[in-house]
Amino acid sequence: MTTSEPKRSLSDGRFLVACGCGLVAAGLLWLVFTIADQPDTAAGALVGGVTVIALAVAVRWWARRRGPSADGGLGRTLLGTADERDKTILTASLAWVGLAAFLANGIALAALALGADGATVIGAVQAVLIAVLVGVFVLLSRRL
Amino acid sequence: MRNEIRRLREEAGLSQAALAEALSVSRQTVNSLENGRYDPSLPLAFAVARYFRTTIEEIFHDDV
Repeated sequence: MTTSEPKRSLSDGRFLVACGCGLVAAGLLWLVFTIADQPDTAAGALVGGVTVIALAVAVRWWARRRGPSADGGLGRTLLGTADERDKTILTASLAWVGLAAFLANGIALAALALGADGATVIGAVQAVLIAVLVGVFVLLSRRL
Repeated sequence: MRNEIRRLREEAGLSQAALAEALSVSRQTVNSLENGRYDPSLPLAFAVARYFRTTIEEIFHDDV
């Protein structure tokens, strides 16, 4: 039964592996767009990916400073000590991010078709998705 | 879903934080449970019932 299990933090090693995977993914995106002769888009993807990882590192550092008993679902989730309500909130938030991604993808394609800059569009989509994730997480944390 | 968690907790002289610690959940989860904003999973409902030495039916009540 999960509720009787002791809380276990997400280890630094696993967090570093996750960050490493993120950097590799951002690097692969950069490589793909560079090969496709889209240097602006490649730069946008790289900057966006690195920004997301940097944010994750910063928030984890902030959560760790507050300790494992951090009085917030976001901190517990980032420290890997989320309980079932936190996980419910995270799951619902990610579902909203999926919906937002679906909509943002369509809008981004339309913007590109109208001549918008690729790097700008990718950066905007990433910013919107991060904002949706944080906003919905905070909103659900207050209401649930 | 209505429940008797607040009454049982207060009768036991426990704070929300103490009950949360005993159930390995956050204080916010206990608060949400007491206010009926969050319905627990079956494992958590069993854990609450076991902690107060009673049954799920004695703690949780269907609103219908």
